[in-house]
Amino acid sequence: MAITTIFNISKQALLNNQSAIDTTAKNITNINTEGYKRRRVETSNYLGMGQVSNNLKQDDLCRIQNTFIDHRLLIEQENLGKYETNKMLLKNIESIFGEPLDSGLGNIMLEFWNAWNDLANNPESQTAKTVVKDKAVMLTNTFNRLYTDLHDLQEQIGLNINEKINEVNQLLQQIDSLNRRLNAHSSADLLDQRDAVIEQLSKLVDINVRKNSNHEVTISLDGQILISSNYSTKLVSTVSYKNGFSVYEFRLENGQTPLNIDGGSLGALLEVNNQNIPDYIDRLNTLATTLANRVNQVHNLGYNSYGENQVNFFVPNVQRAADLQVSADILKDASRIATAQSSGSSGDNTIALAIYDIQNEKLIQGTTLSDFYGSLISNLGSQVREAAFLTESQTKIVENLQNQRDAISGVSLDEELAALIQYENAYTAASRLIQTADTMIKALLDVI
Amino acid sequence: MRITQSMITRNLLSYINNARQSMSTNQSAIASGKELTSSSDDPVKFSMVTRFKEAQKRNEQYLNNILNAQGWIESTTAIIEDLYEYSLNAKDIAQQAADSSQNADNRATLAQKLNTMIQEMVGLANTQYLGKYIFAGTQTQEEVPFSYDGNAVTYNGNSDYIKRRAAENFDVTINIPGSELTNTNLFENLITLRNALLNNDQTAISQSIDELEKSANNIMSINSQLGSLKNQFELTKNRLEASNTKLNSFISNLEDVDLAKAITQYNSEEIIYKAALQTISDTFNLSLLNFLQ
Repeated sequence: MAITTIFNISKQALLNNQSAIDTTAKNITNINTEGYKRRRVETSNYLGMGQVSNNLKQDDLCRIQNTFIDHRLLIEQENLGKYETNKMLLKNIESIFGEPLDSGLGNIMLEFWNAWNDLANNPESQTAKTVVKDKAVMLTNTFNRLYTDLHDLQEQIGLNINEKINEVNQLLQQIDSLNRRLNAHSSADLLDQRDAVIEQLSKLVDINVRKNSNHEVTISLDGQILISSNYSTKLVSTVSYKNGFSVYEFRLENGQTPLNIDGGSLGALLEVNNQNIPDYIDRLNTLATTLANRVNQVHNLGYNSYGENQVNFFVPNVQRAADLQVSADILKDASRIATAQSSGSSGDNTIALAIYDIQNEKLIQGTTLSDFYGSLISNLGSQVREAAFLTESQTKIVENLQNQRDAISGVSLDEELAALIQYENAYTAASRLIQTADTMIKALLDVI
Repeated sequence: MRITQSMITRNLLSYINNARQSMSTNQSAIASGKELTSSSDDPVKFSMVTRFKEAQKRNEQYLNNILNAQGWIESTTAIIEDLYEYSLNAKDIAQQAADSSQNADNRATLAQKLNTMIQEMVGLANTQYLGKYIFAGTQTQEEVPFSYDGNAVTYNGNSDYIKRRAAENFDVTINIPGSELTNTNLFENLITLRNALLNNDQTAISQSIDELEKSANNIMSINSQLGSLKNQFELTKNRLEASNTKLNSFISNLEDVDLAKAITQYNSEEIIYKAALQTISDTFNLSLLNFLQ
C-alpha cells in the first residue's frame, strides 16, 4: 500500500466531514422553517484497500421523516380546517340571532304579545293601539333584519368560496410544477417545498395523496384525479339559486361529475352555505308566515272602533321573513286595529285577548311559536358548541402529530451542536492524518 | 423521544394560549356576573333560562292586569256601596212617609227629595273610570249607559262582560253590566215610591218598603260578589309574586356566576399563566450553546 493512499483517504475524510458540517449548518439555519425536515449525511462503511470513494453528492443527503405520521397529519389538518371554519361561521350565525339580547327576536316577540295584553286591558285606548302597532313594526323589522343578515352572510361566504377555489387552483399549479421538476431531478429542497404546499392544500379540501415511485405525487379529490404525472386540472364552481339562496357545486374543469367536498375549510364553507343557512332561513320563514297568518286570521274576525271587520293586521300571504310587513291600513291608522268581537262595543277585548293567546297555541309541529324559535336557538347553540369542542380537540390532535413529526424530522439545536463538535473533531483528526502522512514521506525522503 | 426546538416552542405557546383563554373566559364571567352569555355556552341551560324568563315576564304581565283590574273593581265597589246607602235612605223615607200622621204636602216634599236622589243615583251609575263607563257592559265609550226622563230610568248599554287575564288559563269577569243594576229593580222601586208619594197613596208607600228592602239586598249581593273577586285577585297576585321570586332564584342559579368559585379559579389560572411565562423564559435560555467554550 502506498503512503499516498493515506493522502487520498484523508482528503476524503476532510471532504466528508466538511459536507457533514455543511449539512449541520443547513439544519441550524432552517431550525424555524415550517415543513423543513432535518438532513443527515449518509456515509457508508468505507474504505477497503484500493477502493476509491466517490465524493458525496446532494442525493446522498437523507431527509429524516416518517411517512405514516406525515400522512396522518394531512388528514387531521384537513379536519382541523373544517372544524375551525365551521365554528367561525356558526358563531357568526349565532351572533346574527343575538340572543339573549333585548333586541333578539325572542324578546321582541314577547313584547309584541304583551302589547296585545296591554291593549286587552285598555281596548278603548288609542295609545295602547299605537303601542301594538309600534311593537309590530319592531317585530317585522327584526324578522327582515335576520333574513337580510343571513342572506348577506351567505353572500360573504360565496365570495370566500371563490377565493378558496383560486387558492386551491394556485396550489395545484405549484404542486404540478414541483412534480415536473422533481421528475427531472430529485432534490430535498423541492420535496420539502412540495410537502409544505400539499399541507396547505389539505387545510382547504379533503385531498388524497399518493406518492409514486419517481418522486411524483398523485392527488385526487372525491375519487377524481387532480394531479398526476404530467397531468393537472383545475377546480371550478357553479352556482345555482334556490329561493334566492345560492347553492354551490364543484366539478373539475374538464369533467362534468359533481365533486363531493366535505373536508377542509372549503368543505365547511360549502356545508354552511348549502345547508345550514338555508335551513335557518327556512325555519325563520316558517315562523314569520305562521305568526302573520294566524294573527291575521284572528284579527280579521274582530271589529275596530270604526265598526269595520276583515282588516288584515299584517300584509297577507307572505312567503319570506324578509317580506313580513304590517298592513298599510294599520300603519296609516292604528285605530283600525280590531279588539272587539262585535261592533259598537269599545270595551270588548275578546279579539285582543285571543291574539295575545296565539303565543300559547301549538301552531308549528306541535309547538308554540316561541318554543319553535327556542329550539332553533338551542339547536344553533349546540352546533356552535360542537364545532368549538371539535376544534379544540382537533387542535390537540394536530399539535400532538406535529410534535411526533418534529420528534423525527425537526431540528434539535443541542443535537446539531453536538454533531458540529463531533464533525469538527473528525475534521481536525483528518487534517492530522495528512500531517502524519506528510511527516512519513518527509522521513522517507530524509533517508534517501 | 427527541425533543426539538419547534416542539418546545409549539407546546409552550399552546400552554400560554390555553391559560390565556380560560383566564379571559373567567374574566368576562366575573365582569358580567353571568355564566351564560349565549346559547352555545350551554344550550340546555340556556333554553331553560329563556323559558323561565318568559314565564317571569308573563307573570309580570298578569300582575299588571290584576293591578289594572283592581283599580276598576275598587271604583265599582265604591259606587255599589253608595247605591246601597241611597237605597237604605230611600227605605227610611218610605218608612217615614208610611206613617199615617203624614199629610199630602209632607209626602210631596219627600217625593221631591226622592227625585233628587234618583238623579244622583243615575249620575253615580254613569260614573267613568279612566274615561270608560263602568256600568255599560262592553259599550264603555258609546252612549251614556243610564238615562232618566223623569218617568223611567232606561239602560242603553249591553249585558256583555269584560274579562281580564289574571293568570294562565284564568280569565276573570271584572264588570257589572248595567243590566244587572236594572235587575235589582232599584230604580223602578224608587220611581214607584216617588209616584206613590206624589199620589199620597199610603198603601202603595207601605208596599214599597219591602220592595226597597229586596233591592237593597240585591245591591248588597253584588257588593259581596265584588268582594270575593277582590279576594281572588289578591290570592292570585300573591301566588304570581311568589312564583316570580322562585323563578328569579332558578334563573340566578342557572346563569349567575358563583363569584367565590370564579375568582378562586381565576387566581389559580393566573398562577398557571405566570408559571408558563416563567418556563418559557427559562427554557429558551437553555442550550448546549451556553456550555460550549
